[in-house]
Amino acid sequence: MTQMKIETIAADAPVRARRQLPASIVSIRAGARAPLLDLHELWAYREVLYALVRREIKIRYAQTVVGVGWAVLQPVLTTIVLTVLAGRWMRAPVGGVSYSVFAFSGLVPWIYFTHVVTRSSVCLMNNNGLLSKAYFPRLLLPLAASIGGLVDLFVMIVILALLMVCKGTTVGVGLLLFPVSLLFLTVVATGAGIWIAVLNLYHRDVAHALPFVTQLGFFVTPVAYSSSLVPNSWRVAYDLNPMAGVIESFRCCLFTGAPGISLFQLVVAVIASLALLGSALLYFSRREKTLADVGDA
Amino acid sequence: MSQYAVRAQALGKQFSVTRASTRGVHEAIERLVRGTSARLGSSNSSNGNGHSQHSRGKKSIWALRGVSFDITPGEVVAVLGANGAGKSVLLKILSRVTAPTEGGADVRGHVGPLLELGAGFHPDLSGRENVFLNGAILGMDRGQIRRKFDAIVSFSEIEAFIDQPVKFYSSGMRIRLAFSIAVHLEPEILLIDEALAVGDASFRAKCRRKLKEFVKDGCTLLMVSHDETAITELCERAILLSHGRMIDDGAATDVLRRYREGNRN
Repeated sequence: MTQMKIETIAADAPVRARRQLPASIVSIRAGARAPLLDLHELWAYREVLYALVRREIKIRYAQTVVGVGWAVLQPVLTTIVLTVLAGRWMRAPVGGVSYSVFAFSGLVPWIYFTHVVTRSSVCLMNNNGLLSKAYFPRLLLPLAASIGGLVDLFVMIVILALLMVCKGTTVGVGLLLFPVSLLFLTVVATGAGIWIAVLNLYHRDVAHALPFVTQLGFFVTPVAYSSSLVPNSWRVAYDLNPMAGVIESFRCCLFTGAPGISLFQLVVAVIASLALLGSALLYFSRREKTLADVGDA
Repeated sequence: MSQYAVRAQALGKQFSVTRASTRGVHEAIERLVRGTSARLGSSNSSNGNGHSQHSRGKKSIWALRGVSFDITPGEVVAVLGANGAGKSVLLKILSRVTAPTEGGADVRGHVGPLLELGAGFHPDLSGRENVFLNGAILGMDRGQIRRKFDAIVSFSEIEAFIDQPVKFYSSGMRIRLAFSIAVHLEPEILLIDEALAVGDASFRAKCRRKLKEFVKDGCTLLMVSHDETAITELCERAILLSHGRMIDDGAATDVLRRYREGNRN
């Protein structure tokens, strides 16, 4: 662990091209603890973040035929299948809204979440070329995955809005809190993404487990059904899954008839998500300075 | 006030040779079994080279240890040594790619991207986009990079391919572009790890000319090289590493001679 201390340099330094980063003495010390979250440094490197996000978006659609249509196709096709299966046959209680709207509104945050986690899982390995050549805050890589996924998220939200208009879904004042639920979603996705990014670098089992775990996650998260279906004896364990809270609050904000989220469930989910992000940042800051040592393994 | 561009103080970097935590579960079990049998079988727990055997069968090695030096601004220093002497690790620590296990270093000024084989490019992005990404990492904004862009491309002589993804570039083209970016973004300190070994003779000569210009502007250069022509032509000073230790530091021609003598023995 090394601490980077940045001081403003004396005027006798050679004056070269004007830079955004302050001309500085960088002090590299063994054993010094990296700060948990250095917002000042992240801001100084915002041009790098911008370049990484652009790249993230570009790669998502490069060499694909359907392009941005993937953001549409995935939730639409899944909604159709779910509507036929769960909506028709199982008659899952959804609290007054059309089942297709209900399922779609669960799929939007869920697809964003899996997208961010999947992209984050490879972000350190795929960028080993950069990691092993130059210093920049390594946290920018998983952050770029989270931010890059927002494009798809907004496309999906537009489709959801169109679907809600078509189905005549009534919206209430809860819509004002919709941005807050989006923030909640990004906190959970980013926290999980950072964890997976580092874990995958050290244990390649993670890459094998990830598709299976996200598939399992689909069933233990109220995407296709409401969490009111979950037996009471399982509720506390169920509510500890922060994505359950995210999806329920997402729906609460969108339609008045949604089954609702209890205050208890919301509090548990918010605490769980903050713990997820906090522990992820802690883990990342401990590993950050030596990520390049294992990247090419 | 003492002037220095780079000051290393008792730098050390320890690696675990088995890289225990990077492998899958079955290898962890295999390691456990092997570790047990090694403990039962032999007793060569350590040797003189700084290798040591931990109690759990995990071997570790000091790739660099106790290395201290000062480099003044504008100095051109060659880092010499056999493969595995710790040259690349030293440059990686100074470029903050990896952290030292012990000791420390102070680096004054902007450090360019570490130039080595297999440049820091993203294969899916075009050469143009990689120029902007590298520039951003060096702390330049888009406007500044745009102003330098034509000079970067024309120096690298890959105009025709600048909008192609870098994955289609040859290794020579990659290093041309990487070198061109590094010198045009005007870092105050440039670290080169054998990057000049590729590329044809005329481009290497061009690089050496560019580096001389670069040094004349007051920039500091630290280069790992086995190319004696480049060393004698560019460097006034050299550091010799052996098994992670610095065993010589002095005028480039003297250190180079001693390095050659050492190789003969």
